[in-house]
Amino acid sequence: MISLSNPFWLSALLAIPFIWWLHHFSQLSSATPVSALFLWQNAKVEEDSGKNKTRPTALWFFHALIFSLLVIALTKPQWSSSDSKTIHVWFDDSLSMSTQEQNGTRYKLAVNSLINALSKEGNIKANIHFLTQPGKTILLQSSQKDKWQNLLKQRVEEPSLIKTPSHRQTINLPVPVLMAPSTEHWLVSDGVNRELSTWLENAPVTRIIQVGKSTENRAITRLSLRPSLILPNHYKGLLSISNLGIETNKINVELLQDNNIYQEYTLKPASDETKSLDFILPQLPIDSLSARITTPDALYNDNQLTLNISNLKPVSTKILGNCGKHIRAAISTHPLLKTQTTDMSAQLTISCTDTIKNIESPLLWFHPSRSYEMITSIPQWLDTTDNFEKNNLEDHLILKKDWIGLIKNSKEFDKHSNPVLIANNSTLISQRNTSPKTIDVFIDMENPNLVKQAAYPLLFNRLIDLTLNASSKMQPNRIITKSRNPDKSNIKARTLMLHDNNVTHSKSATFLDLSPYLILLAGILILLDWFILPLKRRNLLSSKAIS
Amino acid sequence: METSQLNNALSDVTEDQLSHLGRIANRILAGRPFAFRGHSPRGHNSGRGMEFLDFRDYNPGDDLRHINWRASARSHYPLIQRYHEEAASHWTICLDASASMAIGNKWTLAIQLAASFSYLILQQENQVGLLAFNDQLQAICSPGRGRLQYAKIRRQLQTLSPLHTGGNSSLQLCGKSIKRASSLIIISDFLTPDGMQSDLDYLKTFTDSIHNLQVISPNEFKLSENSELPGQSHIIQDIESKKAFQINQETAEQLAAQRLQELKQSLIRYCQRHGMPYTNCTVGQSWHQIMKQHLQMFYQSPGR
Repeated sequence: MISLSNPFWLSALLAIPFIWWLHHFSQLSSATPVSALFLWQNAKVEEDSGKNKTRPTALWFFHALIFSLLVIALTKPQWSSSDSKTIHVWFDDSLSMSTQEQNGTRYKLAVNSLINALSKEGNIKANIHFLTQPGKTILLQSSQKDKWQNLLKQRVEEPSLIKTPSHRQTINLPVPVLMAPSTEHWLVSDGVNRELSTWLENAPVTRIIQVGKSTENRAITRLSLRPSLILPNHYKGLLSISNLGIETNKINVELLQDNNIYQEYTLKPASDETKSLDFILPQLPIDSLSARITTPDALYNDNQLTLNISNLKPVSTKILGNCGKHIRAAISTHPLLKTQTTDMSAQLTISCTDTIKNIESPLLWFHPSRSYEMITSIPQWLDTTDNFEKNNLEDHLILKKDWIGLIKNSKEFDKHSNPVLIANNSTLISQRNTSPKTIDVFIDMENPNLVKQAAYPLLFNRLIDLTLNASSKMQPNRIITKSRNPDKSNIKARTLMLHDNNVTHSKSATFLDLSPYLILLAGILILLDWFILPLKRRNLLSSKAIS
Repeated sequence: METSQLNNALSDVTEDQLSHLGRIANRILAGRPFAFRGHSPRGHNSGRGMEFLDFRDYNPGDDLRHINWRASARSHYPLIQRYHEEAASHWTICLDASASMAIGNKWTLAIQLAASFSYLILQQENQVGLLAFNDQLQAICSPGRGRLQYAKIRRQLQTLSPLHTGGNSSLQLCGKSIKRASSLIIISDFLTPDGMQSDLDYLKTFTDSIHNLQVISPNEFKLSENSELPGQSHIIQDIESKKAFQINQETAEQLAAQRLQELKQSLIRYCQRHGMPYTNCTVGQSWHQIMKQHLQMFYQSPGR
């Protein structure tokens, strides 16, 4: 396929009538001079017959051909091989691309601009790579131009904070040295990401399609919640709002409990300022807590954060038997355990009795005994507990042998139980995979050496977690938080610049420049015209009228 | 046209040939000098001249150089010698230097004729001048006599050349530089639609006589062969007006020759009607032959 690099040179073809005029002039110059024209008046060819007009000759066509060849050579025609040109398009689908502009989102504008640009390229294959999804590529071929829009819409969702997973909120730029230099590389972006400028310095990108002009955006950057350690049955929360725009405007923020407005705030952060506010929330049986900005801005995806607080809901606890005072104190001070006095079914049963019947909820069973023996080796936590996450806190939950008293003659120990904590080849804590789940504790929880240790509430909390299979989520000082990087919500675009060294070898492999061949051909024709073509032959050519 | 060619052209006009022509002229004219109507070599008035008229008494104020001392001695009175006033006729050769004269070697023959006429006229002790004209007066050689005048005219002819292109033949321009009652010798191709008859009408009102020599080249109608036009078509261009048109080559030369013949006949009739000697000069003829032909024709002309 032939394409022209400088098609405006084709306008020089308008000078062909000038060549005709030169030929006409040349014919006049070859006219025979006579002393007196009136003597020849009787031999004059009549004007009306049309035969006297200078008609195009083969020689004129020959010269017009040479001129046309030279003009076409100036347009730098290029022959692209039968294989279509391959363009790699690096498409920025980061969160900022969902910014709302006047004519739609940046993403839509970018898609439209890209399709327009590709449509002008003729026969191409475009590989669309998405910067937040390195493995995802869409192939657009020029034979399917009418389907491009739908193809892009179907295969790629517009970035959205709600739908887009967190790993898609960061872009993954290809390594410049690994980008195929023989093909063209385009970048479609809004230029917000600061990594792009650095990447462009080395990447062989030949074209940049940049969209987006909006600058004003506010975002909720953090929403945290934890049970209050001071006020029983309350949560303590923290909310951070960032102004990522240029102007300072009022921002209205709503706090919602399961879609019900709990409280409203009005803030006025300055440009690039983050304001935080704390709040107290009563413990209610709700599943989620949301904070959202109601003031409209360009990027609405970052105007809301939602916390799932179902794990922070109070757990109704049923206590069986007469537990020791330290166990009772631990139960009563635990912020999420709510002791149930009625016979309604509870979410957790804590038993301090010898025997148990008809238990429907997970059971934490502190086996009672009147005699204990002190262990002589250091207790060891076993890894067999699948649901027992080891975190830094748990690694440091070290129980000393002096603190632990082992209940003698523990009959409930079953060989099918999974030991969780062992010492002296004896099981201190075990887990039975029955239904409901049961955690057997053979530790003397009223041992004076143990109860005065700081590890006591931690041990108790871990036993609760283990029973509820809650993976340490029941820690009394557990903080649930959701946050986002304020940089991700920045929509202020930077100017992207192409670097000269990037374009050096982008087209050479796919295009063949035809200009030298045309100039060579024109040169041969000129030589033929002036030196090789004999005069008589020229006259013969001249005399052949092209009617 | 190159100057060297012109030099060669004039080198053909040797003094021997010219004096031979003078003798022929005398013989043709039966011993009478080559004089024309209105010519009176001896006037009845005294004046500047060479031939003695008489003596008169000296008057105060007369030039002392004109006192004839010997006659004064004889008569004891100062006497002034008087001469016949010479009434030699004035001749002007009007040479057409338009671009059309450059075609077909007409110019060479024209300057040869101009040189020989000037010699012949000067030989008869007449005054002769030269005017070269096209659309303006290209050269003016004021009338004079003697051998120096001939040399002057010859030099002038050597430097003259016709226009390469453009211009036209405006014979009327010569009228401003011609003395009253002088005679004209017009050397031209007379290739204007009216054969310069309107100009001749104008000049004859204040001139004594007009001799017309029409120089025509046999190559006048020869067309070039390397035309770029197809078929028998050919473009011709007027060397003076630059107008061009296309002609049919098959019949063009014949038609043009026919038209020229008509023009020539018209001019001849005009000259006969007005008593103007006319000679047709064809390139290829020798100037010597043409001069003899003209003298003979002049001798036989009814006005003589």
